[in-house]
Amino acid sequence: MMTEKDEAKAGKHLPKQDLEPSSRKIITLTINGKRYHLRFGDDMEPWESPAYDVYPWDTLAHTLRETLGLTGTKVACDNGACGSCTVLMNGKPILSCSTLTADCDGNEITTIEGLGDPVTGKLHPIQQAFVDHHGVQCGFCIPGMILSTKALLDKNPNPTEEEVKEELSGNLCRCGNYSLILKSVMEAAETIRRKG
Amino acid sequence: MAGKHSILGTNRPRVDAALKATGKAIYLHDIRFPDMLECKLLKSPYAHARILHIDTSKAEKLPGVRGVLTYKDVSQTPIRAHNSPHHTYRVLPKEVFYVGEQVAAVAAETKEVAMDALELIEVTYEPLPVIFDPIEAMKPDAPLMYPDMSDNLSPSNFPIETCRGDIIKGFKDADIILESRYTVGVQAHNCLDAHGTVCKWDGDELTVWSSTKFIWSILDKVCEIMGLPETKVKVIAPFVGGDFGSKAGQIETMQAVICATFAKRTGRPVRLQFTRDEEIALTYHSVGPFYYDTKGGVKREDGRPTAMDLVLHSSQGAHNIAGLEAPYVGSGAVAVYKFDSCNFVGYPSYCNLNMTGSRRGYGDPEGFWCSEQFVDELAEAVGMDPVEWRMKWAIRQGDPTATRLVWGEFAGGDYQLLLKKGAELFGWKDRWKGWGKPTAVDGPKRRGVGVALAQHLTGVNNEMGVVRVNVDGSVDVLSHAEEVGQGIRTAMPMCIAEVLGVEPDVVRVSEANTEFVPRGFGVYASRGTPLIIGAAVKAAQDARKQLLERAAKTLKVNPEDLETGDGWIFVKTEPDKRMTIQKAATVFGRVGVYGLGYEEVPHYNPETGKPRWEKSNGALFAEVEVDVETGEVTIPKVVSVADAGVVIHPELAKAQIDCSILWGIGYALYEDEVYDRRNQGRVMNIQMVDYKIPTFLDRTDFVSVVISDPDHAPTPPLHMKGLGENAMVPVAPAIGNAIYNAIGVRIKDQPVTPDKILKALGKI
Repeated sequence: MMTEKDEAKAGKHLPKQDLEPSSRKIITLTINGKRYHLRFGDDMEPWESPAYDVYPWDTLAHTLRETLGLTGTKVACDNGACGSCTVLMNGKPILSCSTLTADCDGNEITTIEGLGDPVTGKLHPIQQAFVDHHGVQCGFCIPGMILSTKALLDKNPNPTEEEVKEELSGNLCRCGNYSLILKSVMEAAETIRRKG
Repeated sequence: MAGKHSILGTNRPRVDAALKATGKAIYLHDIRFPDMLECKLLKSPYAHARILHIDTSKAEKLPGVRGVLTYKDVSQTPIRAHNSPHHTYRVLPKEVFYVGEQVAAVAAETKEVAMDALELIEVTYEPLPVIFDPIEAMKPDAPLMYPDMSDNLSPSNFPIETCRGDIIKGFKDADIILESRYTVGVQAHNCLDAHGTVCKWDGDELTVWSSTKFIWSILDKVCEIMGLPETKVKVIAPFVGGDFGSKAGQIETMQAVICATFAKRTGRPVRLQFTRDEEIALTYHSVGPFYYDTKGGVKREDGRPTAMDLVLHSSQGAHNIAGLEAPYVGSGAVAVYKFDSCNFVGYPSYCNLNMTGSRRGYGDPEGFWCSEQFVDELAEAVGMDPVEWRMKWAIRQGDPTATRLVWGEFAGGDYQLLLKKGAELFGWKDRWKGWGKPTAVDGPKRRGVGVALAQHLTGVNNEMGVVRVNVDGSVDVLSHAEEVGQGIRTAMPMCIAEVLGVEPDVVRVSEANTEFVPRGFGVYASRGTPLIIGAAVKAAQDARKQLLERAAKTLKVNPEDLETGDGWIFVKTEPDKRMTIQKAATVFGRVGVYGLGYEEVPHYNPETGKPRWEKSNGALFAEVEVDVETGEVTIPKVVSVADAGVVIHPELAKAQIDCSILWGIGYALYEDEVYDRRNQGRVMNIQMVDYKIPTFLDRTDFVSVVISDPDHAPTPPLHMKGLGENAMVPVAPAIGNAIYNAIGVRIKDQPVTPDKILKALGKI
């Protein structure tokens, strides 16, 4: 089954008229509070100069990692199955590997780089809990796991262990460190509740 | 070191936790250069074929393509396997032996262009006969896979058969003789961080960054294949997002030679990063499938095991990457119980399936899946409680045991203690209702309990360590210690600090870079703790000795009179008479102190000179719930007890066991590669949605206990053992035994999926 992304990629080297007409335009994303104006189009090759920042087949994960250098977002399955690439769009968790950047125009994105205090660099309480309670092993799932946790605690500040497991079951940790991730999430929830 | 500790046994923060929690940790995946080219591989559509002709001209003309490589462009020197004398894996071969084997490589400006270019490469293949089954492969009329061999048995540096005692007498002595066949499928590692390599030339010097657990393996192989001296190549491992046995250097070498060749030709850095489907189609998997034919005998009166006869067939795939002794590493039941006699013969054979190699536990999850269920069959035959039977017949210190089918005396954990502790925590006595009696029945849901023991080797080969005490009193450890998630870069500074009497946060472990770290091997075979840390500890002891000698001169005492602690060197009897470690390191000026260490696992008893096997051991108890209407299995409770010698970091040690339980659940219930054997033996489930691994919901009530038992970890200086592999081994057989207890039918074919249960119950 072809995803929208695959279809977009597959069309890349076909004659231009087979593609949807893409007028040159600007895609505006607010990422971690900073506004980016990205040139969007497909009639210049990515390796030519000038080139576009965003092509029709670019996923949000690609734009974040390859174009903007925000490599904290991880891509593991690139197929929407593992949750590693989770970022927040307007506060809601989305799979950035399965989201086209072109569809994100005007939206607010939060990545792992944007979670700490922008001034002091202090870790977000969720990040701190993952550090304090050894929620981290190889670490590859952690940015996505932490952002899914953020979305969960934003909507349910006092979750049960079962609710945490259910909510985070789309984020795979191949190390299997779920016991300590669970502990980290429960401790983070308590810290956030205490601080109000 | 086995005495009182101030740092070992405490839960320090992981040194890499904040980097990883903020997304700042750099994995291979994150290494990029502005003008970097992307590389993609063309995969063989045939399980076995000769390449008659390749035309790359159309691909080369595609805009954005910067080069195409085939077997004509790279050396045909094989990529060496660890422990096999027969090397069949090539960077780009002339003949392919499984579906997916790399046929050509494209470098392009973007990976999309590279992928488009693959479709423009025209290859003419001559398909050749194929074998997909290890029993078929051993038949006299089977097609010969490699013409330089007389049959399909893959050659090994280790024995493939052994016997002990008089097996004919053993079966004569038996009151009951049982026969059983167990089978095991093939599992993928499926690390979230797929294999990737970046190569860059600076003049005639090559730098290779790779997602690997074994930088030295890549260095050796790249130098051999490309004809380069070691001084012109450096290999660097960044953070690695999981390994589990998959990153031992062979796949990375293939990637590195391709990237380095393109990089040399184009003058630009080149990256080859596998996608998920490439990760499963192009890398090696666990050894298998397995057929394990067992025949065993017991005495009725006390359950004495008199004989065990085992015949094993296993597929080594098209190429065995890590050595084919995998099926026999821990040697299963005959190495764990006091059988009067045994006979074990293995037929590891080549098949046209994906490559095989090491995967967590390296043969022991397979061997114990079979043997720990089979001994339950024996215990049931004589009507003994399975825990009692194990308590009575499990080996003790000094009893014969085997590693890779070589016999030696057992030096490992106390099985009786592990069983006792586990049974208490699990409440075995109250839960176990007897053979054929589920522990609870609620409508279609039946509960049962099971137990299993395990063992796995801990440490192979040797290591060098270098420690530098700096002029400011801080300490550098030069070590490859690849951080794959296990926490070695947190544990190592704790051990070094313990030796030197400083705080762990003044100890830094260097980058894993072959340019300056001492020689060694990788983080495999549960060897990171006993050997890599072990060698660094010995280096720290050497540095400490030098520091004490210097301080002794200044303080005008004998070095033996001195002790270290809190960054000071002081006279034991007069603690006020002291100097700082920093001061001692600069006695001869601003040069610091260098310590050197060497560590190996002595596979012999230093007193008797006889072979001795040091093992990690464990006992595991599981409760399962089986829905006999749907065939679904859930695991409500697991108690796992493992011994670790001296424990460095209790929380991380416990986490290794917890995670191993998850891995074992995946092994028991989900993980299996499905091959299309009617066609070309292609792996069908190459995406994460198709290859099932455990999720958060599989984590239920786990009780993980690490026994700190230095007396049963004889190797100094640390008396420490690896945990990451052994703890996974008993999980699946304990679950298998519990399923049998719940439903009264034994599923001998791993993994236990709902369809197998329903079939066994006669429902489909």
